[in-house]
Amino acid sequence: MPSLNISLVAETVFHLGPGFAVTNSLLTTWLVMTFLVVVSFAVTRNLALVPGRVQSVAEIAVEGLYSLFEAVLHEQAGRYFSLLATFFVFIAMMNWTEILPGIGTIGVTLVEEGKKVFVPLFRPGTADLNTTLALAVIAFLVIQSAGLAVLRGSYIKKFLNFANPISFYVGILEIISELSRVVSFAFRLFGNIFAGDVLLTVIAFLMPLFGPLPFLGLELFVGFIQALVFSMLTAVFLSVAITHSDH
Amino acid sequence: MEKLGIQPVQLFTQVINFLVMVIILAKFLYKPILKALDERRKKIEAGLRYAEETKAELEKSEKRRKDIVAEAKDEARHIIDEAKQSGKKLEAEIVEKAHKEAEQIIAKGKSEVELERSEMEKELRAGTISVASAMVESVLRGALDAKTQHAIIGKKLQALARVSK
Repeated sequence: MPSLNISLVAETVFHLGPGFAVTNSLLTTWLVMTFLVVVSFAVTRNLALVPGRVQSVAEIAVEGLYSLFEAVLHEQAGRYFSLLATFFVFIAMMNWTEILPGIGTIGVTLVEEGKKVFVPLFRPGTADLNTTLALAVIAFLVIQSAGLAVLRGSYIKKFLNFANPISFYVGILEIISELSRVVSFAFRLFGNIFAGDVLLTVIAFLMPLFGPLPFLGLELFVGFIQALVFSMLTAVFLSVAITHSDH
Repeated sequence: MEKLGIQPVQLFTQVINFLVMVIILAKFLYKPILKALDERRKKIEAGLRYAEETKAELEKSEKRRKDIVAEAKDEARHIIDEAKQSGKKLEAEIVEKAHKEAEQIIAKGKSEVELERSEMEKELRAGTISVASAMVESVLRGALDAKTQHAIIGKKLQALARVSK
């Protein structure tokens, strides 16, 4: 009976120069990026006033995202739209790679420390904490810098307030809450997608023929929801950060 | 960190990946599409506005047309009424005139007849007198003298004249 290969850490597939290991999740990320670049070029190469089918779909997606973020950020939506939409599109695409055949199954068997280890060539980008943490850090930095740029002094006052002991303590709590968001963003996304990846692997291992089918649909849904949650939460925290609070 | 597989190089690479994605997608996907959508919205708005204006224009001209038609109808009715009235007046005048003429003709006829009758009467009377006097003369020639004769005839004639009147 073949053994099941489940690894929390993205495995290194090959090295690009000294110190730069290309992991399977990074490889998949690059594939997703290539796919997105090709698609966006193909879609917008010849935009027409009367849209074709492909253009219509792309328009529905972009406009839908825009109205979604507009509902949260109102007139500020245009400024942060590229970032928020890329959060959604990029994360959704990376999440959905887990349901593609060959992701997690095509791989090489390497010998590490005397043991035979199966290393899959592809792994969903968001099933790697490096990716999700990178996204969470970017979201955090964007939120903080946006708050600072819009509110300036009063934004700092939210965290460092020496007016009275209570507001000082509240400021400390705010700092902790902001920092904890990075962790929650990163682990929520990672946890969901990694769990989905493991689930599909296990089901495919136990019931290879029709077993994974319902779970593929489920993972399609989870991947969409997680991308939506990540981008929407970023939008909401962004709107909170750039809103003047009168207390 | 080691157990979770977090490596600074990997993390940084993914940050770069994401930023590259943001730039590329913004430039080649979001902006063109949003621009296209905006352009289309403007075009549609302009089209709608044009349609609205055309509709208003149409309604205005339709109203004007109706007004003109109503005015024309009114005027036509007015003219017809006037014509009718003047026709009636003319008719009445003609009838009156005819009546008058008829009356005149009748009166003229009557007077002519009267004249004729009176002339005939005169002639008849003259005739009668001469015949009567001739008869009386021939009958009474021996019995009465000329003076009495004439007195009697004169009386009779006076009586005749009274009767014939």
